[in-house]
Amino acid sequence: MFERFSTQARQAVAVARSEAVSQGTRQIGCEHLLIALAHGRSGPAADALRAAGLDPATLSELAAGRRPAEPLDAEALAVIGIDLDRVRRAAEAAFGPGALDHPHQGPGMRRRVTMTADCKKVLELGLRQAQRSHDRTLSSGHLLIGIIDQGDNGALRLLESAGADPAALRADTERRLTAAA
Amino acid sequence: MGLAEAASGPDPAAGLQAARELRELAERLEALQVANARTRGWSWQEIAFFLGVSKQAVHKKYAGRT
Repeated sequence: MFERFSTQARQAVAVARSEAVSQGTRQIGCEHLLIALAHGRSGPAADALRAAGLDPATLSELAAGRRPAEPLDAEALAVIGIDLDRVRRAAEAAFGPGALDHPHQGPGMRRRVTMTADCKKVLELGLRQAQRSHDRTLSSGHLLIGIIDQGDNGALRLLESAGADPAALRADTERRLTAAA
Repeated sequence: MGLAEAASGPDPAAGLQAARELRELAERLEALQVANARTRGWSWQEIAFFLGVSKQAVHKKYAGRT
Protein backbone atom coordinates (compact mmCIF):
# COMPACT_ATOMS: atom_id res chain seq x y z
CA MET A 1 0.00 0.00 0.00
CA PHE A 2 2.69 2.48 0.97
CA GLU A 3 4.48 2.12 -2.38
CA ARG A 4 1.97 4.53 -3.87
CA PHE A 5 2.40 7.09 -1.10
CA SER A 6 4.46 10.20 -1.67
CA THR A 7 7.39 10.79 0.72
CA GLN A 8 5.33 13.43 2.51
CA ALA A 9 2.38 11.07 2.91
CA ARG A 10 4.62 8.32 4.27
CA GLN A 11 6.17 10.82 6.66
CA ALA A 12 2.69 11.86 7.81
CA VAL A 13 1.80 8.26 8.69
CA ALA A 14 5.05 7.92 10.68
CA VAL A 15 4.41 11.17 12.53
CA ALA A 16 0.81 10.07 13.19
CA ARG A 17 2.19 6.96 14.88
CA SER A 18 4.54 9.07 17.10
CA GLU A 19 1.70 11.39 17.94
CA ALA A 20 -0.51 8.46 18.98
CA VAL A 21 2.31 7.06 21.11
CA SER A 22 2.99 10.39 22.80
CA GLN A 23 -0.72 10.84 23.49
CA GLY A 24 -0.60 7.46 25.21
CA THR A 25 -3.36 5.89 23.10
CA ARG A 26 -3.36 2.35 21.75
CA GLN A 27 -4.59 3.25 18.33
CA ILE A 28 -3.56 5.63 15.59
CA GLY A 29 -6.71 7.53 14.75
CA CYS A 30 -7.63 10.11 12.13
CA GLU A 31 -6.97 12.87 14.64
CA HIS A 32 -3.31 11.79 14.86
CA LEU A 33 -3.07 11.77 11.07
CA LEU A 34 -4.54 15.28 10.98
CA ILE A 35 -2.01 16.53 13.53
CA ALA A 36 0.75 14.87 11.52
CA LEU A 37 -0.40 16.64 8.34
CA ALA A 38 -0.38 19.94 10.23
CA HIS A 39 3.28 19.29 11.13
CA GLY A 40 4.26 19.18 7.46
CA ARG A 41 6.63 21.90 6.34
CA SER A 42 5.09 22.13 2.88
CA GLY A 43 2.64 20.43 0.56
CA PRO A 44 -1.07 20.89 -0.14
CA ALA A 45 -2.32 19.58 3.22
CA ALA A 46 0.16 21.47 5.42
CA ASP A 47 -0.37 24.68 3.45
CA ALA A 48 -4.17 24.40 3.56
CA LEU A 49 -4.14 23.72 7.30
CA ARG A 50 -1.79 26.63 7.93
CA ALA A 51 -3.97 28.91 5.80
CA ALA A 52 -6.93 27.90 7.98
CA GLY A 53 -4.95 28.81 11.12
CA LEU A 54 -4.71 25.21 12.34
CA ASP A 55 -1.30 24.68 13.94
CA PRO A 56 -0.14 21.28 15.20
CA ALA A 57 0.43 22.38 18.79
CA THR A 58 -3.15 23.60 19.23
CA LEU A 59 -4.59 20.53 17.52
CA SER A 60 -2.44 18.27 19.68
CA GLU A 61 -3.60 19.98 22.86
CA LEU A 62 -7.23 19.77 21.81
CA ALA A 63 -6.84 16.07 21.01
CA ALA A 64 -5.19 15.37 24.37
CA GLY A 65 -7.99 17.16 26.17
CA ARG A 66 -10.67 14.97 24.67
CA ARG A 67 -8.88 11.64 25.10
CA PRO A 68 -11.52 9.03 25.94
CA ALA A 69 -11.01 6.15 28.33
CA GLU A 70 -9.78 2.97 26.64
CA PRO A 71 -11.21 0.14 28.65
CA LEU A 72 -9.88 -3.35 28.11
CA ASP A 73 -11.85 -5.86 26.08
CA ALA A 74 -13.61 -8.07 28.64
CA GLU A 75 -14.81 -10.49 25.98
CA ALA A 76 -11.33 -11.09 24.61
CA LEU A 77 -9.99 -11.74 28.10
CA ALA A 78 -12.89 -14.04 28.97
CA VAL A 79 -11.72 -16.24 26.10
CA ILE A 80 -8.70 -17.14 28.23
CA GLY A 81 -10.59 -17.32 31.50
CA ILE A 82 -9.92 -13.87 32.92
CA ASP A 83 -12.80 -12.20 34.71
CA LEU A 84 -11.99 -8.57 33.93
CA ASP A 85 -14.78 -7.26 36.14
CA ARG A 86 -13.21 -8.91 39.15
CA VAL A 87 -9.74 -7.60 38.30
CA ARG A 88 -11.12 -4.13 37.67
CA ARG A 89 -13.07 -4.03 40.93
CA ALA A 90 -9.95 -4.94 42.88
CA ALA A 91 -7.84 -2.36 41.04
CA GLU A 92 -10.42 0.39 41.53
CA ALA A 93 -10.83 -0.47 45.22
CA ALA A 94 -7.09 0.00 45.68
CA PHE A 95 -6.34 2.79 43.23
CA GLY A 96 -9.58 4.63 42.55
CA PRO A 97 -12.14 4.72 39.75
CA GLY A 98 -10.86 4.24 36.22
CA ALA A 99 -7.57 2.77 37.46
CA LEU A 100 -7.48 0.25 34.63
CA ASP A 101 -9.08 2.40 31.96
CA HIS A 102 -6.06 4.14 30.50
CA PRO A 103 -2.88 2.81 28.95
CA HIS A 104 0.09 3.76 31.07
CA GLN A 105 2.11 6.59 29.64
CA GLY A 106 5.68 5.98 30.64
CA PRO A 107 8.65 7.91 29.29
CA GLY A 108 10.57 4.80 28.29
CA MET A 109 7.68 2.65 27.14
CA ARG A 110 7.41 0.88 23.82
CA ARG A 111 3.81 0.99 22.72
CA ARG A 112 2.11 -1.40 20.38
CA VAL A 113 -0.19 0.72 18.27
CA THR A 114 -2.59 -0.32 15.57
CA MET A 115 -4.67 1.85 13.29
CA THR A 116 -8.37 2.49 13.80
CA ALA A 117 -10.79 1.23 11.15
CA ASP A 118 -11.63 4.88 10.35
CA CYS A 119 -7.99 5.69 9.73
CA LYS A 120 -7.56 2.66 7.47
CA LYS A 121 -10.65 3.78 5.58
CA VAL A 122 -9.12 7.23 5.13
CA LEU A 123 -6.00 5.69 3.57
CA GLU A 124 -8.20 3.66 1.21
CA LEU A 125 -10.20 6.74 0.23
CA GLY A 126 -6.97 8.64 -0.27
CA LEU A 127 -5.64 5.93 -2.58
CA ARG A 128 -8.81 6.01 -4.62
CA GLN A 129 -8.48 9.79 -4.98
CA ALA A 130 -4.84 9.37 -5.94
CA GLN A 131 -5.76 6.94 -8.74
CA ARG A 132 -7.45 9.86 -10.48
CA SER A 133 -4.42 12.14 -10.22
CA HIS A 134 -1.89 12.30 -13.03
CA ASP A 135 0.94 10.47 -11.30
CA ARG A 136 -1.31 8.14 -9.29
CA THR A 137 0.70 8.92 -6.15
CA LEU A 138 -1.06 9.48 -2.86
CA SER A 139 0.03 12.85 -1.50
CA SER A 140 -0.60 14.53 1.85
CA GLY A 141 -3.42 16.44 0.16
CA HIS A 142 -5.21 13.18 -0.68
CA LEU A 143 -4.94 12.13 2.96
CA LEU A 144 -6.55 15.34 4.17
CA ILE A 145 -9.33 15.00 1.60
CA GLY A 146 -9.77 11.37 2.62
CA ILE A 147 -10.18 12.42 6.26
CA ILE A 148 -12.88 14.89 5.35
CA ASP A 149 -14.65 12.57 2.90
CA GLN A 150 -14.77 9.68 5.39
CA GLY A 151 -17.32 11.84 7.18
CA ASP A 152 -17.24 10.65 10.78
CA ASN A 153 -13.97 10.40 12.66
CA GLY A 154 -11.80 11.85 15.41
CA ALA A 155 -10.12 14.30 13.05
CA LEU A 156 -13.43 15.84 12.00
CA ARG A 157 -14.42 16.19 15.65
CA LEU A 158 -11.05 17.80 16.30
CA LEU A 159 -11.60 20.23 13.41
CA GLU A 160 -14.99 21.06 14.90
CA SER A 161 -13.43 21.81 18.33
CA ALA A 162 -10.91 24.03 16.57
CA GLY A 163 -13.72 25.94 14.85
CA ALA A 164 -12.62 24.94 11.35
CA ASP A 165 -14.81 24.50 8.26
CA PRO A 166 -14.11 21.06 6.73
CA ALA A 167 -15.81 21.86 3.41
CA ALA A 168 -13.74 25.02 2.93
CA LEU A 169 -10.60 23.15 3.97
CA ARG A 170 -11.35 20.41 1.45
CA ALA A 171 -11.90 22.90 -1.35
CA ASP A 172 -8.65 24.72 -0.55
CA THR A 173 -6.71 21.45 -0.41
CA GLU A 174 -8.10 20.32 -3.75
CA ARG A 175 -7.19 23.69 -5.28
CA ARG A 176 -3.62 23.37 -4.03
CA LEU A 177 -3.38 19.75 -5.23
CA THR A 178 -4.47 20.71 -8.72
CA ALA A 179 -2.10 23.68 -8.76
CA ALA A 180 0.81 21.46 -7.76
CA ALA A 181 0.13 18.85 -10.43
CA MET B 1 -19.67 -19.96 17.32
CA GLY B 2 -18.80 -18.85 20.84
CA LEU B 3 -15.57 -16.97 21.45
CA ALA B 4 -14.08 -19.82 23.47
CA GLU B 5 -14.65 -22.19 20.56
CA ALA B 6 -13.27 -19.63 18.12
CA ALA B 7 -10.12 -19.27 20.22
CA SER B 8 -9.32 -22.95 19.99
CA GLY B 9 -10.34 -23.24 16.36
CA PRO B 10 -8.18 -22.80 13.26
CA ASP B 11 -8.81 -19.04 13.03
CA PRO B 12 -6.14 -17.29 15.10
CA ALA B 13 -8.03 -13.99 15.38
CA ALA B 14 -9.74 -14.55 18.75
CA GLY B 15 -6.64 -16.05 20.36
CA LEU B 16 -4.40 -13.26 19.10
CA GLN B 17 -6.79 -10.60 20.28
CA ALA B 18 -6.94 -12.32 23.69
CA ALA B 19 -3.14 -12.38 23.87
CA ARG B 20 -2.94 -8.73 22.99
CA GLU B 21 -5.53 -7.75 25.58
CA LEU B 22 -3.78 -9.83 28.21
CA ARG B 23 -0.53 -8.10 27.44
CA GLU B 24 -2.19 -4.68 27.80
CA LEU B 25 -3.81 -5.76 31.08
CA ALA B 26 -0.41 -6.89 32.36
CA GLU B 27 1.13 -3.53 31.39
CA ARG B 28 -1.55 -1.55 33.19
CA LEU B 29 -1.35 -3.69 36.33
CA GLU B 30 2.42 -3.45 36.32
CA ALA B 31 2.28 0.34 36.02
CA LEU B 32 -0.25 0.61 38.85
CA GLN B 33 1.84 -1.55 41.17
CA VAL B 34 5.15 0.09 40.29
CA ALA B 35 3.60 3.46 41.21
CA ASN B 36 2.16 1.86 44.34
CA ALA B 37 5.57 0.45 45.32
CA ARG B 38 7.29 3.80 44.76
CA THR B 39 4.65 5.55 46.89
CA ARG B 40 5.53 3.12 49.66
CA GLY B 41 9.22 3.95 49.32
CA TRP B 42 10.38 0.82 47.47
CA SER B 43 13.64 1.17 45.58
CA TRP B 44 13.93 0.44 41.86
CA GLN B 45 16.08 -2.54 42.84
CA GLU B 46 13.31 -4.02 44.97
CA ILE B 47 10.72 -3.44 42.28
CA ALA B 48 13.01 -5.03 39.66
CA PHE B 49 13.43 -8.07 41.90
CA PHE B 50 9.70 -8.77 41.90
CA LEU B 51 9.33 -8.05 38.21
CA GLY B 52 12.19 -10.35 37.39
CA VAL B 53 14.10 -7.78 35.34
CA SER B 54 17.16 -5.61 35.84
CA LYS B 55 17.07 -2.41 37.84
CA GLN B 56 18.13 -0.57 34.68
CA ALA B 57 15.14 -1.95 32.73
CA VAL B 58 12.60 -0.82 35.33
CA HIS B 59 14.25 2.55 35.72
CA LYS B 60 14.28 3.13 31.97
CA LYS B 61 10.67 2.08 31.56
CA TYR B 62 9.23 4.09 34.42
CA ALA B 63 11.69 6.87 35.15
CA GLY B 64 12.77 7.40 31.55
CA ARG B 65 16.44 7.28 32.45
CA THR B 66 19.03 4.54 31.84
